[in-house]
Amino acid sequence: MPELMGIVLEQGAATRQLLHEIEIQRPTSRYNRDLLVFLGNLCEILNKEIAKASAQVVADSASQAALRRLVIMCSSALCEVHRLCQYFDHTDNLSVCVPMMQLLNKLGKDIGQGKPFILRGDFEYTYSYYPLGRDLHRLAKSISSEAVPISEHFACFAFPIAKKGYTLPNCALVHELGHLIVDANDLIGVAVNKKPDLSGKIDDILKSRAAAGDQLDFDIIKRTNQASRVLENWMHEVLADLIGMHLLGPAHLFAFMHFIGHIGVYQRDDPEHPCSAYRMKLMLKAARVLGWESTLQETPMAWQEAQRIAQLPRESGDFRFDAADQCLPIIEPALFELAGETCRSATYKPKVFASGKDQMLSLLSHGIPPVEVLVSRQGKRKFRVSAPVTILNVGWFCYESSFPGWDQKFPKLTTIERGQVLDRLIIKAMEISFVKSAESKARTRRH
Amino acid sequence: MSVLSAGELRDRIYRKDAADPERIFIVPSPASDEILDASIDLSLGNSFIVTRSARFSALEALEETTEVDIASYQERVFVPFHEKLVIHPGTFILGATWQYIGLPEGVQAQVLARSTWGRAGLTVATAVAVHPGFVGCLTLELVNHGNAPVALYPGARVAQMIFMHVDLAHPIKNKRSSVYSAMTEPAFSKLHNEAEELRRWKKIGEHVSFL
Repeated sequence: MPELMGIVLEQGAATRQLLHEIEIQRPTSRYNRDLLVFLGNLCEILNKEIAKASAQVVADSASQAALRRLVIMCSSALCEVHRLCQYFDHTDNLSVCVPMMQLLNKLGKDIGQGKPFILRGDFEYTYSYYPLGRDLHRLAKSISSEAVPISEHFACFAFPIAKKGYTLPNCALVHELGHLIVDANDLIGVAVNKKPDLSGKIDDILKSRAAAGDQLDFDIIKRTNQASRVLENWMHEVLADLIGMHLLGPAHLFAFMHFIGHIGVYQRDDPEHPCSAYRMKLMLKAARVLGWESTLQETPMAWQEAQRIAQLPRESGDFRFDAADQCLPIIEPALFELAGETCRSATYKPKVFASGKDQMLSLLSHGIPPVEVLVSRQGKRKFRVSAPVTILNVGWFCYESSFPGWDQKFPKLTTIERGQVLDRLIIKAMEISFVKSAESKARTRRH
Repeated sequence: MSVLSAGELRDRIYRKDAADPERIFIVPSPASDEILDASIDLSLGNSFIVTRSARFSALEALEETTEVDIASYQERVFVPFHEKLVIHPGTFILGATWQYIGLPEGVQAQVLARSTWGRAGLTVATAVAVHPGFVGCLTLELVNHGNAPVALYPGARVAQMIFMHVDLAHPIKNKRSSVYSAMTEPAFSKLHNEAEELRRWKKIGEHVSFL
């Protein structure tokens, strides 16, 4: 027992030292600091508990067993703190796309869901959502009943580190924000309540499949649970996609196409995601509902590719996926309705995009960040600053239309180099847009 | 070669058509009533490049120095608007303008320090010429020539730009292509691009021993 305590004390000191080193490196985002303070406090509590335990003199075996349990629990909690330290890797201002972080913050606030999150560059080529706050809460509550100074909805969005300097592909992060919104509002629960017969439906589907054979009841129950879990995950994905379409418009669809183009698998489901072909079909449906169809047709190549992907048949075979696939269309209308209600105050409209698109595309073709649009009001000429979402959509339209007018301004650049220049211009335009917006808010407050 | 007046600057900046061959782009654009003199003030951006002087002996254009070598001598630093970067006496830092500039073919420009900062010992540019047709944020070569450290804040108006007409009566066929075009942050030096020319001079030197 004393040896075990010694090891855990040593572990506590090492973890505290690691947090100290991270603090010296100064993670610059406010949320990074929140996470660091939280982990630091937790580490202190754990160290105190172990030190208190090591000072105790226990005689009977029952107390000794209780002490052993406490030390082991503290040890595993310290391991968890140690593991969570990896979330500070590549989360500083130079490693993440700052304008994208600002955009995600803004979009969250626009729909009244300003939840804290950190962005993390990942070496895996994927985008992901990790509900960090939920795990942290569980961990903190198991150790101490003290108040936990971190939001339960604190999230970590990971993106491919190779894309840190690019903004257009990172529009896919709005999908991850969608996951956070779904979790924070328990939208899955709300959706299921809208369709109370859904869980019975899975049972029926599986029972009818099993009816032909002589399977045992518990097997069906097990399968039902698994299929329900898959359906829940898929609903999460679909809702996040629909929220992305509401908040970002075509830019979300283009970013999704770009990402699945890298993976190259369109027809295969997995326990977390329905196949990309199905998701594309739903996004195209959302685009039609939101009035983007004619705008999307202005980029014929991308439009045709999206149609082609959407029409690909899914690969069937796995009983869980087949059941979820049969149930999803039942809940689909409820998911569309929920996404619309949640994003009502911040849904991006085709009219807003159309008002400045041509001038902004023209600016891009002259190598100028597409942020200021000249408007005439009462005979006076004035620059109007475009919103970051419009800038991103214009960027995608330029990319998907093969850089219209760029041959004249940048004749020597290859397509890849043009893509890099385009991304730089979009990032600059977004930065200016955010600063101008903050400036005008500050001016209004002064008045 | 005449300098563009405040009125002409206002007129050229506030043109609607991006394809207008006379339009000057300053993004974000100064408000019409902010263009008072024959110059435009430029502010500091957020991105800087500082030198890791302990890691190398000399920046050598003639040796087999690659872009990566030069970049590894330097470190990019991001400073948010509410924070500062201190430039110590004798120190050299690369910064960039917050404004993105686009010049038409008929206009050339020069970047100069504003005297307020010049009096504090700060120079902002050693390569002051901006060529016709240039697009991008301007890289500023910041040096503190004073005796006291100077705090630099992103957004501070440290430089000014004056614009001059270029006579287009005799247009040239082969235009200078800027290696620093459409940059939005300070760019690392492309010193290695000079190697070929320096090697040519070296060869000449070997044959003409008295020079």
